[in-house]
Amino acid sequence: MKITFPHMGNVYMIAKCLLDEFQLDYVIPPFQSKKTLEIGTRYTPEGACLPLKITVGSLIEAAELGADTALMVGGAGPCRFGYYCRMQQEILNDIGCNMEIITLEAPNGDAWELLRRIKRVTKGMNIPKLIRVLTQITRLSIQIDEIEKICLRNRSYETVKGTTNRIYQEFRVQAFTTAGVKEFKKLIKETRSKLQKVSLNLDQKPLRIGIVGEIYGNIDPYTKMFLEQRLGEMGIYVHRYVTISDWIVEHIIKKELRLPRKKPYAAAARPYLNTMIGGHAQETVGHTVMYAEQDYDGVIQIYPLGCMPEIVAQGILPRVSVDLDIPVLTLIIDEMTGEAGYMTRVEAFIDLLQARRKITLDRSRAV
Amino acid sequence: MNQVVGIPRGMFFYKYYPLWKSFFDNLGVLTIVSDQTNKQILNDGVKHCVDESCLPVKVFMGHVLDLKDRADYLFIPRYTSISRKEYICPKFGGLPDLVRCTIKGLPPIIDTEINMRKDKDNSALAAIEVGEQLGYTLYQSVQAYQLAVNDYRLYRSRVHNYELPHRIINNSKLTTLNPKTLKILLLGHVYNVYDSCLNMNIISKIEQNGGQVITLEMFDTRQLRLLAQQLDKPMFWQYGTYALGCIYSVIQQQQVDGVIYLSSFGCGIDSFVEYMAERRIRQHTNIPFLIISLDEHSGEAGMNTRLEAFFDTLKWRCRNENNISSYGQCVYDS
Ligand code: SF4
Ligand code: SF4
Repeated sequence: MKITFPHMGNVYMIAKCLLDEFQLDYVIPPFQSKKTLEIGTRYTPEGACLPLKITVGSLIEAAELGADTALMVGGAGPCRFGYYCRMQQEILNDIGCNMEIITLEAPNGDAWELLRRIKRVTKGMNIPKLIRVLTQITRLSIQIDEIEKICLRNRSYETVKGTTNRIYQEFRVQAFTTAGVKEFKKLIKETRSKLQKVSLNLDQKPLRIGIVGEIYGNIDPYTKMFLEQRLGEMGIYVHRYVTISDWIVEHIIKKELRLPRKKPYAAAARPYLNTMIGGHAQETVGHTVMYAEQDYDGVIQIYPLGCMPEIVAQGILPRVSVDLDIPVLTLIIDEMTGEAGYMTRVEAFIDLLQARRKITLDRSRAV
Repeated sequence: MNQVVGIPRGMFFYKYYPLWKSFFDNLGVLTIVSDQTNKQILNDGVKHCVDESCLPVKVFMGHVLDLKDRADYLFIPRYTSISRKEYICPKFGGLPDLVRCTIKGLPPIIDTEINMRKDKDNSALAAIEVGEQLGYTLYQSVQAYQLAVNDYRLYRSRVHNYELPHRIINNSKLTTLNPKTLKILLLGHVYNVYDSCLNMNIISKIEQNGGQVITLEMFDTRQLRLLAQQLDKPMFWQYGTYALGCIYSVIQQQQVDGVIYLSSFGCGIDSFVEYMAERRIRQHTNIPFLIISLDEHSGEAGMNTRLEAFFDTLKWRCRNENNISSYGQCVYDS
């Protein structure tokens, strides 16, 4: 059994640690590229959402490297993500790719079934070890997100543009060859200290932009076309609430175990969207309100074409934008999105934010 | 108390209207319904909705605009789930919010949540809440709702008897099942299948081509659920479960001569269900399968051609394979 899993931002780091700890045989698919998307688009129904296309591409690339079993997470709606695992399986079967997808979920709350599936993967059962490793990698995911956070801040203040990105890219590549939790902690520590040494110019007052939207487009750098890196290099401070650790802790672990979840965004979203409708729609609306309250200069919503919950959010955001006086730009990505057109829109948005800031400044000076 | 409650003729209208209409009637509340979808409603809707949305939601906006100045309340319940452990499309859950944020100057919206995911009696509670908002007592609402449920059962049994919901509701001429025609399973969301403007009159067209339409609502839902258990993982959308149940039923009984899947362009659920349905039909049967996808740009001429071609295949199949549908004899059987 050679295991693999589809890419989603830095999830591969965490999955890798997990598999290493159990000494399982696995391959990580190559970072997503144009080719991944091309393969995925060819075999996936046209109307499916982009993350499905990318993950299918990713799995096929892994199959080419010899993988025969893929791990996925599940879910039970209302959004399409919960059915990805079956769609992937049927698509792979259709093209004659012999790969079995094991979905790590407790169907209908059946925890034994989940354990059985884990047992099949790990060949044998060592519950204390499983719990230990799971806690470790959850903690790891939080640390990885911290690295990302430092990067986001660094990029907008660094004196030599590009320094942070270089360190971050190195980190992502090194993660491929780092085995086990212990090694990984070391890598994180090194990276963190490198990042902390980057020389910053803290006198600047960069524009501040919040990123909201569907999770895959939010945390996967390839899918969002490296938007954050680019904004950072333009000297803009970027913030995002939706992260991998948040997804793992709040959306997978707490949901499967039915634990109460933290939802600061729900209260913020209440006047506009008073219910959980699936995906990240409520987060999108709630976080936009929160950014407005924290005087951010603008918000960028980013989501894959056809994403049902985000379309609802998109319909609601103009009202939030007017009520709370915060500009919102919506970016929709699909396999046809050209980078040039996309960046032009982002640049125009930034010009607008800069102009707004100047007006406020002038006004406050006049007073 | 002469308040008028406006009911937009969109989304779940053709599924639940008889229930709510009867409920309001029993309470003595006046209701009005927006006009049948027409060019004006369609265009207004398209203009007032996020571009990226699917057509049914845009059309719904058009219906809300049509009612806006004629009603004291708008009845847009928040359907989050209509069956245990299942959901519906996320857009239903956010519909009242979407309407409120898109259209200005609306009368108050009755947006009681209907969520039967955990408890199937929730809709009775919802009815009580609706009654409360309009100033009725618990007792009045409960009674009105019970009567409404009876009416709704009656309506459902008519549909099970092959009467088409939109014809019952719009009081148009009903057709009865004729054993001599080609049976076509027309699969799709209620708002696509029964909105004759949105689907460019597909049902009449099928009939003109010598076919008769069977829809999802005519199947026994308990049966569909059982059949859908063949899925490796339950679909967590009610529509998906039922639609694939229909497909399994067709595979088992071969009671139809052709399957047409009517989908909305950009519909997330259709994109998955349609794929799974097509795969199964093609793998296990040789029943012709056609997908027609609707959006505001779809042209009528294109659909006519595709339908005609589809019927040519069906008739050809009948003649050559002597493929007799289990409902009776094929027209071209000689
Ligand atoms: S959140 Fe959107 S993009 Fe993600 S699976 Fe759901 S519909 Fe698709
Ligand atoms: S199920 Fe499809 S057609 Fe219906 S509202 Fe949702 S996305 Fe639109």
